[in-house]
Amino acid sequence: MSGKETKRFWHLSFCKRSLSVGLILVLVASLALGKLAYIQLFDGRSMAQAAAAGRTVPHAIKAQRGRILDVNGRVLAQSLERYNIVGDPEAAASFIPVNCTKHTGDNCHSIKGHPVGADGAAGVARLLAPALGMNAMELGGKLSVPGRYVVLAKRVTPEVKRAIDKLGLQGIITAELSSERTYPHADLMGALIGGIDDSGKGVAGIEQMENRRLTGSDGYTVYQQGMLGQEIPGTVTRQRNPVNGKDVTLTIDQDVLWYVRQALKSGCERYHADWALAVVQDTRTNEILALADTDDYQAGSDQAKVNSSRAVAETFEPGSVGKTISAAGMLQEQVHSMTDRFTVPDHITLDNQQYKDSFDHGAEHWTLAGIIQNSSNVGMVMAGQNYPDQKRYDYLTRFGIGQVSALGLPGESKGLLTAPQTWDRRTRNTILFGQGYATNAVQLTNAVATLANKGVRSDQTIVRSQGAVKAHPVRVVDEKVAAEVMNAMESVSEKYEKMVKVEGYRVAAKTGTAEVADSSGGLGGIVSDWVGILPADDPHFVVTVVLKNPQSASGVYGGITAGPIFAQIGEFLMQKYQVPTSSPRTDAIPVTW
Amino acid sequence: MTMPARSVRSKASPDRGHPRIQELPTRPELSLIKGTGKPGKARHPERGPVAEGAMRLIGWTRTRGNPLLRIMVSVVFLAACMFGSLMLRTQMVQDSFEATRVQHEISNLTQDVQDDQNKLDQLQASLPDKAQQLGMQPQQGLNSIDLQGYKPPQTPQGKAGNP
Repeated sequence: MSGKETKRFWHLSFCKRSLSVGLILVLVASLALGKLAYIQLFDGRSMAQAAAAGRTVPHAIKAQRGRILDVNGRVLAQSLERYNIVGDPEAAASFIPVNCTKHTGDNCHSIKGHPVGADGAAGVARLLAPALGMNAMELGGKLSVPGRYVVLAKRVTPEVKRAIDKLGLQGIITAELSSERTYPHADLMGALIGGIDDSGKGVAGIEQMENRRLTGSDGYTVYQQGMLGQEIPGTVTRQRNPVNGKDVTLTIDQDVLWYVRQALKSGCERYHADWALAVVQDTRTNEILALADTDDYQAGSDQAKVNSSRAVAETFEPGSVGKTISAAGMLQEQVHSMTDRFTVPDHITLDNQQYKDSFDHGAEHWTLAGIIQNSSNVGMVMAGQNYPDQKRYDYLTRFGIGQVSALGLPGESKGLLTAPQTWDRRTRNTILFGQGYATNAVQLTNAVATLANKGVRSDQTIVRSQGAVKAHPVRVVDEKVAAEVMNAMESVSEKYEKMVKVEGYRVAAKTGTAEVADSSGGLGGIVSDWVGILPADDPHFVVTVVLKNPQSASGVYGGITAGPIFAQIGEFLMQKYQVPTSSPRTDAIPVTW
Repeated sequence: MTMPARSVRSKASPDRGHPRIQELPTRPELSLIKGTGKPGKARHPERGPVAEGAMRLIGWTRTRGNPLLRIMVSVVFLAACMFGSLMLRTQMVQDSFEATRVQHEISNLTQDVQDDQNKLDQLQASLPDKAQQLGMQPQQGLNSIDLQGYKPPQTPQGKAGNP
């Protein structure tokens, strides 16, 4: 083969090969074009829909829990927007910081002007630690776990979240919207307000009681999101706005509550009591102005969630305060009148059971009013001879003893009042002077408020109703009977005038002291109480003060320990609410004969 | 019913005495000329100026025999529509971004207000304790004046004031 032929052969061969490659390329291009045409002309819409569907994600919008306010609109509990900071350990492992130069502008990573100095999770931790106020080592450890989701910090403020946004860690660190419940008066009424759980549901106190009203309805929005999860504007397809929970206004007056608590704390300290509690009720509206105790539980804390307000949870024998209920029943049943005369010794034996007064005395000539004034157990037993057991039980029940109050607070104990058929020979008589049954401070307050309300018992309330208030008034005793019992109670407070006096105002009160079980199970504990109506001539408030195990050189009786605290609270109430002063007492029922 | 005026011009026998005002078509052609524009007759009063203009444009193109012109007008119209649509879409996206940014700002401000209000509430709650630490005490005792039976003294001015 000559060189010319060889060259020609080589040329032909090259042309053939080029043609073959060209044909293959044309074939590939045709296939690609065909596929493109198929996608664009036939499958384009479904492809676009699938892509849009992949980008479209529903996002929940959390509704905010309603606030709890006091009667003057002061915030007692509210929810604030917070963020949970979440890390992606997998993305953090591949993090490489960008050093700041002239060309990077703000799109770089630095710590106070210095290079980060580390890659991966360590670098992310170094950048993030100052913003979160955490240790970089600890943070690095959290980010060095396998997986793509780890919560680094809970409930950080929006300010911190914004600082994190500026760190340039998008795709590694994200923030999830959360909320935090705050209680500005946290220690003032911890157990009363209660708290919520991690899901935002009320689990104690008012938070639990009013959970339905406080809880809102979550909303959602459906939109297309970008690579970093950001919303692509104009792609919202569906949306439902969240409905925030409603505010709940209490009848509690924060000022009154604060003062009552101060008085209780100082009284507790003065008398070395284990604890003290007080209830202040407005007799005209039956609203509770203060439910205070000396516990220091912070609202929202675990302690506040597992404990209830002592005013509803703590039960005790009312002691001599119970004599007012027995006397009212006797008068209503016309067993006695308030002026009936008795010769009362300091002890008496009945059915082989001995009853004693709390102090030694001779045979005193007391009327029924005098028996109440001197708080004579023997006198009550004598007066109750023709007062049937069933009536004793009925009147205690009608005054609300042994029944859960209308407040509806979680953890309320209804007390203990057994049926008269179960009473033994002693109990049927101790019932007359407030022993043998147990009640809580709220029940006891309403029982005395019934006398202040001219014999009508109404439901107490602690939440301001938005509609008409349903107080369910029930007449328990006649107006005249209530007035006579109050008259006798006024004589009681006159007896304690040197120790318990609200200057310018008449007070109708009853003291009580009862032995209660102590930690050993025996009757080693003492509960001293004082329940007073003031002013006696125009009742505005009923105040109950209870002390557990008070110790005083003068004695442990309610009149000596709880009484002065009552007077302190009463004075404050009269001034705060500018109650007109009382007119002089002119109708006192004789206490002796 | 008013009929639009019609005129038929035939170029089969051209009038050589008159100057040619337009290029002659190769074949005789009928063309429709819209009404002479008497107010209230030819015009449709219910149409807006844009619709009226569009109708006139359509009418004008129909009077021309060159299909290229129609195509060009259509292409220009379509291009204008596409451009307008693109502009509108761009503006919408821009406004959407702006709305998102404003919404974000509002959200931030709302959070700031919430936090500040919370701080204020906490400060307010601590006021009684702070007042007590400063030694301030609620008023003790009662000072009152009994005005029962009180009669204001009758002054000469008072008498003069009461006829």
